[in-house]
Amino acid sequence: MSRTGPNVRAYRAAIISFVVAIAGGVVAALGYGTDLGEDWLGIGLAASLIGIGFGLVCWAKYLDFDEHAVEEREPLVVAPPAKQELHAELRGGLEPMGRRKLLVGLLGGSFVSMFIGFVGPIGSLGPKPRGERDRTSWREGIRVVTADGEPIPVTTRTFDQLVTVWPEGHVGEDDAQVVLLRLPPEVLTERTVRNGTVEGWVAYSKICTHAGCSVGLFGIDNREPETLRQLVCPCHQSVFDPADAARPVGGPATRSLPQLPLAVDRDGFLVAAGPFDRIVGPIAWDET
Amino acid sequence: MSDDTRPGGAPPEHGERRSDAGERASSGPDRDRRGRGLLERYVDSVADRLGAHSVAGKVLRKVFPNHFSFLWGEVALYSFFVLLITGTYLTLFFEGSQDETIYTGSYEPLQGADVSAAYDSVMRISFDVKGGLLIRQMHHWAALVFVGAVALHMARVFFTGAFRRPRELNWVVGVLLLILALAAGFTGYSLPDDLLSGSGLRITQSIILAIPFVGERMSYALFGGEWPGTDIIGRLYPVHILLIPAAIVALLAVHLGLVWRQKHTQFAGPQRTQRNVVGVRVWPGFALKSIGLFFLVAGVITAMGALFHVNAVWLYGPYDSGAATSFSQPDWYIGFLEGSLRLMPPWETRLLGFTINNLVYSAMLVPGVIFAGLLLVPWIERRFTHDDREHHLLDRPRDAPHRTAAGAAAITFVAVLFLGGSQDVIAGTLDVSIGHVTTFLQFAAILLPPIVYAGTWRLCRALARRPGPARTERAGGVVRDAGGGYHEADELEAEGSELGAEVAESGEAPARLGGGP
Amino acid sequence: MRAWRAAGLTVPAAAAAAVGLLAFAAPAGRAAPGDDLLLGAELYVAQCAACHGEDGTGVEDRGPPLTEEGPAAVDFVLRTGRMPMPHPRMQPRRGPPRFTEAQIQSLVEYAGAFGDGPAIPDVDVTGADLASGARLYQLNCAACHVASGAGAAIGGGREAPDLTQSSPTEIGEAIRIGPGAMPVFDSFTDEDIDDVAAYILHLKQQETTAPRDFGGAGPVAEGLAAWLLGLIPLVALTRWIGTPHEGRDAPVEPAEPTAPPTPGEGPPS
Repeated sequence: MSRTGPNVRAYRAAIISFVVAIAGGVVAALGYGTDLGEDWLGIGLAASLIGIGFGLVCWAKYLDFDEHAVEEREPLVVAPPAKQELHAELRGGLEPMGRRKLLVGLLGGSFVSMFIGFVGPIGSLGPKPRGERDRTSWREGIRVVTADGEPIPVTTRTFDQLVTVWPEGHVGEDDAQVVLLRLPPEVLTERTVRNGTVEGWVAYSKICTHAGCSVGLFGIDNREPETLRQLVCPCHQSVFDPADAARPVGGPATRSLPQLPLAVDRDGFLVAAGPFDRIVGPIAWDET
Repeated sequence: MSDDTRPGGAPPEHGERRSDAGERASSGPDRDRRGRGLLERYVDSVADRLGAHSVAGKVLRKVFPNHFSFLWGEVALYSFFVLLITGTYLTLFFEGSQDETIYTGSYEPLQGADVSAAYDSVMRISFDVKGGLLIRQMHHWAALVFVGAVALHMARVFFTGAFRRPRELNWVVGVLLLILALAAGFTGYSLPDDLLSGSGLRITQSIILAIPFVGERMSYALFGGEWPGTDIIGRLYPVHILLIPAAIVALLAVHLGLVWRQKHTQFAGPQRTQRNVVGVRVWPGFALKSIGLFFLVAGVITAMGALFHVNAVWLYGPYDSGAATSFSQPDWYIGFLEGSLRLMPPWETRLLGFTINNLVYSAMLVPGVIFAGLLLVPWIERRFTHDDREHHLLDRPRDAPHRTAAGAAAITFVAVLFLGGSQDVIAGTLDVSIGHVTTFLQFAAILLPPIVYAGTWRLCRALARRPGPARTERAGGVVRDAGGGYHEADELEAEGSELGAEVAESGEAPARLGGGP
Repeated sequence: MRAWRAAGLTVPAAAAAAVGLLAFAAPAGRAAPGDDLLLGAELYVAQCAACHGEDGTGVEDRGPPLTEEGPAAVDFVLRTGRMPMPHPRMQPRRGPPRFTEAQIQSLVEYAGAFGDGPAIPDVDVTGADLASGARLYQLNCAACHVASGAGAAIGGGREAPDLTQSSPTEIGEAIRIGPGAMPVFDSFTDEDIDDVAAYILHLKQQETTAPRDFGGAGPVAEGLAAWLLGLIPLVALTRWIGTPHEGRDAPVEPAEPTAPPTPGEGPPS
């Protein structure tokens, strides 16, 4: 077996690798300590690590340590007599215990009771659900405001615009986030209008009924025979029709977004005409 | 050898040198001290106190077989070491709290923003700690590589049948390690409390809510009330840095201990039998190669952390109710779950006033089936092969066509789920509509696996018929009949086989190709 | 061509095209408003009327009316090369502008007058509040345009484009007019537009869509990179490390006794 060719190459490769590794450490130190830039810290460290690894493998594989060795396996399964010895020893402990049935039963009961006792503090991890999920801060008469607290005049002219809004005084409350849209009134279905719209303004809970993400994409497509408007959730691509009470028209969502009924107050600003009629967002087992 | 009653030997006399070449006549304790260099003395001082001389010898002589695919588990192990080291560094800066604070660090676009302490500390690590961003990115890349290596390793074990008796327990431990790795990754990338991972947590909360009977209670317990609450980040932190790593380390100890005790499997080959292991001894060859591999893994991860950006939480911004971002995906390894959620048709069941949410199907049923299937692999295989023997020689995938085909079909299904998880990215890149991609993938998830199963099975059979070096346990495996046709040797023994009948009639054994045990 | 012939416009179209070419060749100077209008009219007739109608009232199945648009809309589509569009049913795509600066200005004056939509906003990014811009972006724009500004598919074959190629004025125009699938963001004040444009400029400077950031495509691209740049090279390395120097099937040494060779002896040769 010739060891000259690959050996010499491997030897040289190992030398170069270790030299690169040494240089890498220096570069890393410079990258950290001077203005060279943090990138060089990382590059130096990487060079250092790869150099050491490469050199070690060259050494191990080509130079001194390659081999074929053989090791015999010891059998894992033993002969029946040895097995029976173990069985007998185990039984030797368990059988006498088994004869004292009352003690065994009481011991079992003690463990069960102890566990039940310990379960209590786990309940302290969180409050008991008390129906808070049924309610949000939206009430009749509360003004609709943007994230900066600005109310929305009903006469704001532009159609097909999307704003994220909250109840006045409760900006940022997660379950009260609402997406407000103004659509041309003629495209709204009867059902939508019945639920509470004002001059084309519609509002829906922004919490997707599939898995709770904020339904932030509003897309309009003018190319079709009729304009297509869609509310799309970016998480799993559920699609809702804002012109038809936000009913789900695509993706995995099964329930429409709850609609917030709207009205106008005396000063011409948009207000809620009442709370949501359903739980917002995804629902639990015993909710509908 | 050494005198048992005199562990250390007498102390040296003044001026006497220790490491001479053993020229003096040996007698009792003196023999102990002679011919011992520094290395020997230190080794002895430890081993004498533990009674470890023979065990240590066995350890050094232990043989590990050579095949490059056996190193993938080590790649996973070493990525985990990188995670531990970089993670420890990060814990010295990270604050696991949702307390509100105002950002005053050096990243301009976030100046004055309301952020949580967790987010603030991650921004500090990324922009105001020199080298912090590098360590953070190394940690993130290491996590992405870690799970990938675990998956590759698991695939290797599966396709070579290394999970068979006596290694079923180790397979189960391995699957549990995979689940823990996924949990570690998920809790980890949720810690910065940014918009992207926050959306992921919201989805998780919705999933918990949908659990029948106990969902609402569990959700309230975990999150300390309604979403978002103020507790979750603070609770994920100890889970991520203590509970999960401790569990991983414990299971790793079991995992490696079992490999050590049962010895590694090997492919069949010249002089390799069921009753031996052929390869490289731990010392010095295997240890050095292994250490070299560690440095290479660490080096590759460091290079990625240095050259490529990952998880730029400053672009996502802090988690904010009402905000959303497209390309809303979890880190890659959770992608199969994401795909399940995206591809599941809008099914929901109402029963007697109760709701079986769509999420029950996509987030509990599908992953439940996948992981239950994974855990039960050794027993599922046994059901079909009725093979309860010990196996220390590995199959080439082609020699177990049904197992390989089943594995390929399962991987196909999971791969379609992964694609489903990125269906908007795919649609954007290929310039097709998201709806079309979704429908295509929904059909693919059902139709592709059986097609892949059939195709893979045929491929295996075709490859197995080719004569070649015997690398498999079934290497007695190829026989040539009088007419020149090739058959598997198993066919000879099978009941009602035509070949067997032929051989019995002719009275001649057909030519056997390929050596074997 | 067919459309123009059908409309009986061949000769005037050719003349207008010639004028247009001359305008291209002529030095771009500051012309009087009246001149712009004339040039705009001719360009409009030549390039736009076929789909948008002579008075901007639209042509069925070809182009929508321009009576709701205005100067900002016209400027936006021309400057970003979205118009003129080769085929009416496409989604308009960004590209190099097809007209010169002078031509664009003239068309804006002419066609912009068809509707009373927003005027071209005056966007000034100097001294803008970057933090406010970031917040506005994350709340309003990231959903479609992605946190890095790289843009994304948003369903129905529509796409939110890459913002790092847009100028601050174009950004302001888009916010005001809501082009294509984008909604109008009427709640943005002029200051808000300055801030958001400054933030998007910042994203561009940070090169958030560079290859080093995998095009700003988020965790999917990062996962792919982990496999292609991390795991595949590591697997290749294991192939190198794991394969013995002499090959796997070299004959095995006579079975070693389980006692090790004494220290100092090399491996068996």
